[in-house]
Amino acid sequence: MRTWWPITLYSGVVLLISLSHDPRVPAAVLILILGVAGRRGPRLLLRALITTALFSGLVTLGYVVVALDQGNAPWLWVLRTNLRVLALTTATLLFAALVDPLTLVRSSRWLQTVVVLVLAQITTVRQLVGDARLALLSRSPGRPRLSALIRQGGSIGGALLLKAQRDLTTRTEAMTSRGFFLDADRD
Amino acid sequence: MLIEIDGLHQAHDQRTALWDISFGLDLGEHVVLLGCNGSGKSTLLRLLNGLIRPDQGTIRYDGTVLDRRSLKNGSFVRRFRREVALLFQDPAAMLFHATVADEIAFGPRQFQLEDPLDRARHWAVEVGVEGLWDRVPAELSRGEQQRVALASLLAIEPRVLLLDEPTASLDPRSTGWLVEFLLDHPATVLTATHNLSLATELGERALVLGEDHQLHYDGDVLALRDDHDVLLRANLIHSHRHRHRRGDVEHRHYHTHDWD
Repeated sequence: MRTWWPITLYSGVVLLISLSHDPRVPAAVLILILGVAGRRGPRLLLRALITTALFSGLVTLGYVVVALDQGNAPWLWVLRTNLRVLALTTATLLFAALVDPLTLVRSSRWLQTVVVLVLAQITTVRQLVGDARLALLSRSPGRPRLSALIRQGGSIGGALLLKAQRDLTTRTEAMTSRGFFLDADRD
Repeated sequence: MLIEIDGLHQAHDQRTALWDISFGLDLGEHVVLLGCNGSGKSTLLRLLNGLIRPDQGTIRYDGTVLDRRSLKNGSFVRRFRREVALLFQDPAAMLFHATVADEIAFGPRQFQLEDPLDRARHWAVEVGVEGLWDRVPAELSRGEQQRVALASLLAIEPRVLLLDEPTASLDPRSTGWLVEFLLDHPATVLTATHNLSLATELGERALVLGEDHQLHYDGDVLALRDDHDVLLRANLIHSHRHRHRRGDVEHRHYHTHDWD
């Protein structure tokens, strides 16, 4: 039962924000989400801001330039869109923190398998990126330079792709070996 | 012979993985597959499990050649997957359920065996993971995952167990448990390892793959311990200088860090 109130709240928030054209709605929803989040609210908001800053900034800049060039006032759109994105991202982060995805799909063993496979990939990626960050720190006399960070970012990207490909092959072989792909009633 | 391998050649990305491998495994035989890293042990186990097909040569399981045709034959594949189980080197690759209970019960359910959950509980107890029953396998330690993966295979009671470095993630107590468990297991067991000290515990017969990916030895595991030529050639032992703490005595002898 504990799973259902975050799902209901999240669905309501998504619908409300998507259907409303009044910027006060996403603003009010954002305040509501932060209220529900309690003490973790400021941290969630910061994470949402970091996550969306680059993308939203570029889209906003492009829109403002085009709108001003055409003689339109872009500010209402800018306020509404950015508040929407921020409120939706914060709501999603809060939802992810509140709900265990495995509990969410408890009714279907097949869906649970899909979620487990996705979570396993996320765990692997998180571990590899974390290890790489620590390895760079350990090999740097001081704070790593931007050029080193960029070089390492590229190298991690390549390593992740290779690892994902190898992991996928091994996992598929393991599932084949255990008879996963044989015809059978899975649920 | 339960399994017969004849003139097996295999390459990955134009690099040789196995070269002209031939041997057989009898029903109930316990054999150790020794070789250094990259010698082709895992590839050989994957071939024996019908997961990849050989470039050249044949593999027969109970008289049937493992080829494209047989591995597309539904009833044969079903029987083969039930009877031949492979424990992967990375146990995490084998675990894809939300609880240990479902993970172990998966095989019995898939092969429609009676009372899958009872079977799962029995093997969870046997392997010592009953305390992890409701946990998410992906979140367990590597040693725990190894045990859960093993229980998942044992729950379908296979005729052949192919084990790829099964002690690599286990602590000494768990390793001792595995050795004792396999000692009286009725299945045909082929255990790949580079741990020489365990070789004599895990089988009566040894197969040694060399760095050239060829089979350098097929015979008694105890006799292998004294065959330094084979062990050196296969990069299973090494020699290096020893400096004693007292005095200035130095000497050199064959060495393996895991040899009891």
